[in-house]
Amino acid sequence: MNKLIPLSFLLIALLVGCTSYYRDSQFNKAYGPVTAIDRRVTAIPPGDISFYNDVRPILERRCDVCHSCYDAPCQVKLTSFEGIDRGGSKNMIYDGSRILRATPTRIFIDATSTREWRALEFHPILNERNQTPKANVQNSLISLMLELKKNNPQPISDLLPATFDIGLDKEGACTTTEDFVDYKEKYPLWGMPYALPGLNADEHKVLTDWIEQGSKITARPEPSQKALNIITKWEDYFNKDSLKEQLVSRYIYEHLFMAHIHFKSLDEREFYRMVRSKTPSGEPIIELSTDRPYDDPGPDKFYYRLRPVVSTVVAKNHTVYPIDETTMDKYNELFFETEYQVTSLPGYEIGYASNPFKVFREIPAKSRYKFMLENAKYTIEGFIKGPVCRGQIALNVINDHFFVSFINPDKVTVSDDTAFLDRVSDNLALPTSVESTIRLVTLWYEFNGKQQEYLTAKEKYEQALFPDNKGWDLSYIWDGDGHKNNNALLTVFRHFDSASVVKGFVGENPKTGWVIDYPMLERIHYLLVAGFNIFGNVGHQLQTRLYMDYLRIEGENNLLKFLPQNKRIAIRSDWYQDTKDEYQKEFEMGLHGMKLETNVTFSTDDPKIEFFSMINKHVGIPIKEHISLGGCPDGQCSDTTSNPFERRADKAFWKIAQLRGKQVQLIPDVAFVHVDTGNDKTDLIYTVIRNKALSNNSFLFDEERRRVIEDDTLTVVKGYIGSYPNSFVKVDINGVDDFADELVKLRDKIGYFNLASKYVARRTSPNFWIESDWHNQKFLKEDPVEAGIFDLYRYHRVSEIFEMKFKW
Amino acid sequence: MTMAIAGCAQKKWVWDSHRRPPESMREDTKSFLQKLVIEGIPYIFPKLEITRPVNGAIFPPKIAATQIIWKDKGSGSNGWFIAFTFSNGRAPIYAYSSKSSYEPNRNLWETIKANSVKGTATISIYGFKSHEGKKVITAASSLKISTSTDQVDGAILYRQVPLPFKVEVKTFRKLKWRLGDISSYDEPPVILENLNTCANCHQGSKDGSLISMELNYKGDSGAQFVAKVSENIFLTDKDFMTWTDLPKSVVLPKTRGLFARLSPSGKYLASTVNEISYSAVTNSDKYSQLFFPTYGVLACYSAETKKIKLIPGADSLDYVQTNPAWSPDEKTITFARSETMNSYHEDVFKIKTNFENKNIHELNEQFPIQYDLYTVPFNEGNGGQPKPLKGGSSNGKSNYFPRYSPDGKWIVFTQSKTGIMLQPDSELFIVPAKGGAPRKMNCNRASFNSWHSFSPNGKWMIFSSKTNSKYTEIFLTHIDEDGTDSPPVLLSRFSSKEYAANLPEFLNIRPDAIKNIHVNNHN
Repeated sequence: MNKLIPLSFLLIALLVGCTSYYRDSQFNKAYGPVTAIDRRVTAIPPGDISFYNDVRPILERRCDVCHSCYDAPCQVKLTSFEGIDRGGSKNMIYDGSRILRATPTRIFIDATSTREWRALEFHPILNERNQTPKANVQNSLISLMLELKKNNPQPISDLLPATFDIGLDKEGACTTTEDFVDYKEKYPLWGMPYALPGLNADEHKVLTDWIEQGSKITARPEPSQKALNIITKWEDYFNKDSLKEQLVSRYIYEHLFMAHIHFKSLDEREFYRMVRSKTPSGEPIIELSTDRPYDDPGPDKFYYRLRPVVSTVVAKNHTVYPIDETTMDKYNELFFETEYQVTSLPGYEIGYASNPFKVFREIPAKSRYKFMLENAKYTIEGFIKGPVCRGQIALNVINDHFFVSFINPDKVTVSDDTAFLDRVSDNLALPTSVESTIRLVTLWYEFNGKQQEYLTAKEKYEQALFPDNKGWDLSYIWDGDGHKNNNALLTVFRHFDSASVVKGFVGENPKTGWVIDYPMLERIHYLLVAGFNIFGNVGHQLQTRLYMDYLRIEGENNLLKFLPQNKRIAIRSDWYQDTKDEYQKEFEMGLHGMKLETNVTFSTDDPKIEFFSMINKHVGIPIKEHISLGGCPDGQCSDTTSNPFERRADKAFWKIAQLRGKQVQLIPDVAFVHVDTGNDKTDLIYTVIRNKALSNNSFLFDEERRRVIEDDTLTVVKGYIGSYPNSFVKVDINGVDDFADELVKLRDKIGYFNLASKYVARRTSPNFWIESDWHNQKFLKEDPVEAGIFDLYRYHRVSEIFEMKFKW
Repeated sequence: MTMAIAGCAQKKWVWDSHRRPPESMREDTKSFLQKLVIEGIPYIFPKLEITRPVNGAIFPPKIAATQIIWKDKGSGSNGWFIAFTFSNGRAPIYAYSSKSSYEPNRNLWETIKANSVKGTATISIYGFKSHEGKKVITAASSLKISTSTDQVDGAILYRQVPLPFKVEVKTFRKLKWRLGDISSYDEPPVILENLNTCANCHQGSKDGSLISMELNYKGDSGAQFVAKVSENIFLTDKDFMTWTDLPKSVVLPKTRGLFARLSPSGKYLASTVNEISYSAVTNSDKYSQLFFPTYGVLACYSAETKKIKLIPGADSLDYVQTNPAWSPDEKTITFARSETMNSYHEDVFKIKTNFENKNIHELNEQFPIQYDLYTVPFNEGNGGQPKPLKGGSSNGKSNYFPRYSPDGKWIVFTQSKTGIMLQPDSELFIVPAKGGAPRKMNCNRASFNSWHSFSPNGKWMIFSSKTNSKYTEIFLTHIDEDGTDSPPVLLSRFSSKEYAANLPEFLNIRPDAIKNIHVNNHN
């Protein structure tokens, strides 16, 4: 019997292989063999479809809402022609069970030709057999998928059919042209756009005509002369020869490598990436393909270059780093007008290059810190919008809503002391120094020990600074360089498996807050952005997640250090309910390194809330964006314009903002509400965010058990927060009060269904794309630089809520 | 408690020899009673409690004799002397009973009724015992009754349900429908029984030509029949409509219809549809279930078009709208409304009857749903604006089960702290049909008062109460022009020691108009 089992597997494998071979041979016979096709043309014949003018706008609105970035289904990235030409893969980038590091498949980096992508197991989604109009359509997975949708349109029904799987890791969705016949039979409703309404006739025709015409592509428009001048100037700046200049450029590169650099003097939608290239300025860029920005670039000379972002800009990874005419002066002031020597250039050895406190030890700590603070939102956004930030387990290290502030770089602290940081740099090492590993437990202990030693050293340092035992006062909080830099205060929102960061303290006072100093900020970047390898194995990903616990606790404890010592235990206990004392003591350091008393004077019994208020006043920079309705007494916001629609809507949304606890259970994580005033110019946008409370963040798993529904809150703001809307809600201005009342009364799933039927653009709604387009256009209008296409990968299906359990 | 009885007896006396002729009495007892009546009773005695009839009760002219029942446990009485005295000057009638109940024979009862039409009849009960060789009075009490000239027209159709109620075929098979005649001395005859499925609310058209009932027919739990009244009604497919024909949202369970009411003309049925209800079996017999809808809208079925459509104004998805009641002119529907309470369900998509190891009070605390009465124009099914019924809404109580008086002047409804059915504290209130100050009705008994129905001429109203036992009984109250009701009369022949008598409904028919309802292939 036992022998029969392997035999049967062998038989199945043979059968599958035979079927595959048979199909390939049938396709070969009908359409010729597969060969890489060069689709470049100098010009599109008159009357033919242009990729850039005709196709790309449709792809942006209908396809890139899912097919973008690392989590593009089947790695089909439709945000650029190169992505379409690359095709798809059955291998997933996000794979939580991967034992070994995966081969990177970053577009524009890890392969540059169709042949190279085929070698990396990418299958075509355009016809690569005989180039006839018929074959072009019949051998293109894109046209087959579109046709499948056309023939089996999205059911306009109450609920999305259960046959759709809209999970992040759905299986069986990746097919090839040759296997499409099986896919079609098995999943007749799974045409594209998947689980959303199909294209209209015009859109369908444009895409299929382009494919029928051979999917031709013309050269991409070159940057303007003005842009070239700026790029050249900056590339020259980054590629100077002195040791100091080389080290500073390396430092800047390792922090900006994932930025969408925006030159304020150029078009609002023009962005560049800072890359390492084999070629110098003026020549075509050949980007070095290393996993991480601090990986060894090899023996040959390389150059820092600015490469245009040519893919569709999507909100979920659009991290803007602004550069204006003052930036270079600021860099000079930070890095070149300060007295210090660079005696030698650091290497790129594994385990060393991942530690910025060693590599950049000769650059003054204050300069490094100020560089990061200057665009602190970008720095924090690196971890919020970077590849690390995907999935519930990766995200449940943070609370759903918390405030962030920073230690003043101009005060004497560890952030300012280059020598101290150099001394403790071994203990500031990160688990990213270890390549893909499965030694989880030993590494955890090792890094736990390092963190404890660092905190001990830091405490001794601070005790020496404050012999009277009175530590930080309010002036130790960075006030944005004299109330000028609006990066001084930030708010982070976690939306189950994604997150957002915005400027200012937004929403009501949250459970926790972080005060970040330089060593923490730098480690956040090197742990979660520079050092995070999305192609790393499960061990790497878990180590990253576990170390982040230490950083969160450190940030929270920095906040506690500003609060009265006799209140700290109670406050922290509230943050870490249901954790065993011994666990806290051993692994979380609890209140380790916090013997100093605060030097802040409090007058209330709630010092945490009082301190948030103090910080706000201390920084004193009004933020116009994301006005929180919860902070507007009776819905009368001080900033509200004379627009009567806005005043009316504000009052209605204020009611919603008052909801708490069980009352918000049925509200999605992120909902964009479009208030229709009958005139697009006066239409309004609000974001409703549900902040879900946890008893603690100490565990990777079983989040549901740690939920404290009674402490859930809503944040309702004007404008957009979030890249992954769960719901597009549309409300007529005349019905906005009714909408608020209905939402306030919402108590059960059927009520939610009724409400959704009335107000929500659902996956089965005929007007779905109209709303989706409206939001993307509105976002672009509201914030021409920061806007990107919203991602619909996490867009709710109404019936999801039916499976959930609610408490009343 | 004590009371004084003195000099109330007349000198001449006549025995009621129906059960205990005086000849059978011992001579000393006879002498004692004679002396008592002739000389009067100048002392103060403990009060015994006459539980039936109730003081002030008004009897219809043709009602069968009522039992007189009293409680006299603490006084040691071993015999009771009953005196009927009349305000019209008729000579008193006396009777003796050796147990704590007494029922006048037909002749005596007719005499009592005939002499209490223009005045009252006083019923006095004296308990006595032998003490040191002498008879002594031990307790006494009296009450007044009267008889109306208003006839009770129509017959009473009601359902008998075994307790505790269980949702199972065994229980369904025990359900019986009886058609009662208040003048009969016999238990009302069964006209429908041996069903394998559940059947509920029943009613007739105003003219008595049609009868309707919710009855699960051929497995369709939304089925309801409307049939012509005849001695033998044979129900077949053509007599049934089904509320399940109403198109519904995918998220809702199958519509079954709930608390459906036939319109006075018989042209329409109104019912709660798209309903979701909470249903639990409790751990007690008397209040063995808690049931209330948490979601639903009102719809009407047209007998002419055979179509079901929602009634605008009573179709809001934010509320549960239920318990429709037709005004006699069919222009208005009054209904009970509450905010939807689907949050009471553990899983609103898996509705089931729960067994709760709690009593009704604990469950009411847990599920404090309250309804308000609303009216909405029917407008031939086109509905209108719903308005709260003043006097039946926003009073911190649950108001439900509205019923119009046949002249359209009044609405009688049930009120309790919470809930909509089988509530221990439920009481009947009467309010002008256009809204106004509600009056608690005099007929209310100590425990549970609901399921009321006006007689066709509007002079009488029946309702159910659990005041005497866990088995619900049917009471009859007289209602005058001003809507003032009398203390009620128990229809004791409708009661049973094994069944609760519920859903009593007046039909405008002769009591013998229906002998049998036969359901063809109802399984």
